[in-house]
Amino acid sequence: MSSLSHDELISAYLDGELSGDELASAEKLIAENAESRQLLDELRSLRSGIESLPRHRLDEDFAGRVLDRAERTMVAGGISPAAATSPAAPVAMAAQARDVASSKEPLPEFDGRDRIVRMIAWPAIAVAAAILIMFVMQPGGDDLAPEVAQHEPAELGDDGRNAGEAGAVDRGAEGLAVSDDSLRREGIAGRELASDSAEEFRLDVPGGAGLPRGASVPLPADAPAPRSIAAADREPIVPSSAPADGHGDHGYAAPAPSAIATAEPQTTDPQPAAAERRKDKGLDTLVAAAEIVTATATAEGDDGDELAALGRKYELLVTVQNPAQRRGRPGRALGKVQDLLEEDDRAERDEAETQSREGASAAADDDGSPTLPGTGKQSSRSRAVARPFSSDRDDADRHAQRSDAEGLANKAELAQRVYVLEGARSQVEAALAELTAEATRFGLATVRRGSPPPKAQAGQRAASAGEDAQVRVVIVVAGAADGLVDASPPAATEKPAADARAVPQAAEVEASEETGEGSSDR
Amino acid sequence: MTDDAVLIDETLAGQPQAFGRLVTKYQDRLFNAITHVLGSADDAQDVVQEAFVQAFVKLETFKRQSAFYTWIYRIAFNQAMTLRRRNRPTVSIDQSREESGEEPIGNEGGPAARLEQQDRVAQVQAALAQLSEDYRSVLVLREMEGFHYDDISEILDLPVGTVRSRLHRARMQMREQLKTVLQEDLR
Repeated sequence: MSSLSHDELISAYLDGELSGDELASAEKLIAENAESRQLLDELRSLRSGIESLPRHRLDEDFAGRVLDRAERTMVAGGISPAAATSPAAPVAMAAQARDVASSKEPLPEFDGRDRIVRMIAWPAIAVAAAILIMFVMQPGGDDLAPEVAQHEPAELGDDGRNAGEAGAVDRGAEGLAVSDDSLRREGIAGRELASDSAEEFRLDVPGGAGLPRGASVPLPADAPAPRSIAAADREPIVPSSAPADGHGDHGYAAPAPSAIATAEPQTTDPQPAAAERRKDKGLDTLVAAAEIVTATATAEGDDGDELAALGRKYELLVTVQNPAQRRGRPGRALGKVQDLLEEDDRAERDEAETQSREGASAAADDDGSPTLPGTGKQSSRSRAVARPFSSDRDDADRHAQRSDAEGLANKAELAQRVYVLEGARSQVEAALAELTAEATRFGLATVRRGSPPPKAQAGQRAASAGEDAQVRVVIVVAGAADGLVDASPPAATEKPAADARAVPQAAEVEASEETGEGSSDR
Repeated sequence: MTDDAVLIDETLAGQPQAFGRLVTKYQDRLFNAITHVLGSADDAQDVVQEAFVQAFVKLETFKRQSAFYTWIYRIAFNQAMTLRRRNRPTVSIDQSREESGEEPIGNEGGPAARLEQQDRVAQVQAALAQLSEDYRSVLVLREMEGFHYDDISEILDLPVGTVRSRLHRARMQMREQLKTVLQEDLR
């Protein structure tokens, strides 16, 4: 006999959830007991009444909004609600998104979700403004580029210390999971930075873009103007593990980071001077890390995880500065990029326009470069490798791409995250090389401003110090923010990697450096 | 392989529009259920949207041991409960209906019949709204969603026996409140 009450048995019978003895008992009850039959009828009527309740429906645009929100969450999830990445999202929902993103559930690398991330992030990030800018900062800070002071006075500290130092890291940064304290606790720091042994690199910071408030960058008013870095002066960081054939393990042409910087223009280049000029600008037009950007942007609580992982791997101290420091000044850095773009490359654009008219019909891509996952777009890195700054068509493409990017950038806002990697030079370089290699895979713009001192010099210092010199690298990840989510993914028939290539161009400005020695304050 | 599984695979392969189709497929059903659970169409819309976003973000964690709708419903239900804990409902289902402007099903018949139908719907809604949240949730899942006890058990993280007993008590409470209506139905 069933342990259920008669009424409960009838209720379960109504639902067809009985079997065996219980079912037999219910059937017997219904057959023999009028009250049970009455109850069954009433429950059926009740069901009918509930089923007749009005149906609530959502509008037809709901799915689109969901995908938009998902896009925002995955692209900008690493930014706090206060940051500029998601101003249109309700705070409550942003908080929920943060909860989602910060969940402990594992998110495997380079799997389906990442493909989604990349695919979705691509138009939002690569099209418009995703820039990974690496600054190798020189401690000491008495000789930084004057542009910093000119453009970012409000962001310069007055204590003469460099970015990444005390005060630059906002431990209360909402949504940032990586702090120097936490990393030290986790043993990530690896080693303390000895102030007297720190190798110091000096970089200019064009426009100061990317320096967070609190990133103290002392700059004397009479600081000498930065000088351009010749390509030969720079020593692009080459990952020790970079395949010699330039192909990574992801199927994309992934030459060593030095490839772009040092690649000779093809002999067919009708604009050798322009190519040489670009080369001389000292631009590491490194196609950069969608993976990095998206990884850091995917989850608020995961912000910096990618770099934190690198920190652990290379025994670096990784600190994350508060992106919310950019609050209230959305788009400024992007505006600077645009300004630099226009100032720096107007002549080239004119040339490209001419060439565009002549060769636009040939602009369709046919170089067989690999396609980025889910985008239908080719790896800009691979394109760059295939035809480095070489042809009329490239210039024409570049112009069109840049125009596209500018248009999108106009409605873009920029969110920035600032990371500081500190540690032995060789380790930092290895980490940067890995970042670059990852960046290469996904075709975002990476612009390295300035350069480390010649390796020989550094090597001598390191040798004299008996150990690898300590360096500090400030990495500014500038990602697309609100407004870009409306950017539709480019059709597969569009010129491949156009948008990706536009960003490096946008950041193609004179790189300058001053070399010198100083001492770290840390 | 079910249609849902195909759409999930496509989504994971980098086609978010496939997920859009999943959303379109289930959005109304989920929204309707959550609206009745929460008693607020506005809150339900937020919850459903966020549930789908969460599902998208974490789609790879979906183990497919249950139907996609069961999974998304559980996400939405958890969201709803979180919201409920944070912000106790102040909008009745009646208000919700008025705000959402939806029309009852079965609107055919003359004015008298429609009036009677509307009155009946209002009474059922009122009775449903008076149920405790635990009872209402299980009743909605069963009567509106048609979930089996096992599914309800999974969604609500309750033993099947508890599901059955709560469902029974919810029905008894509704039956008591709607006694007149139900008896009229049976005449």
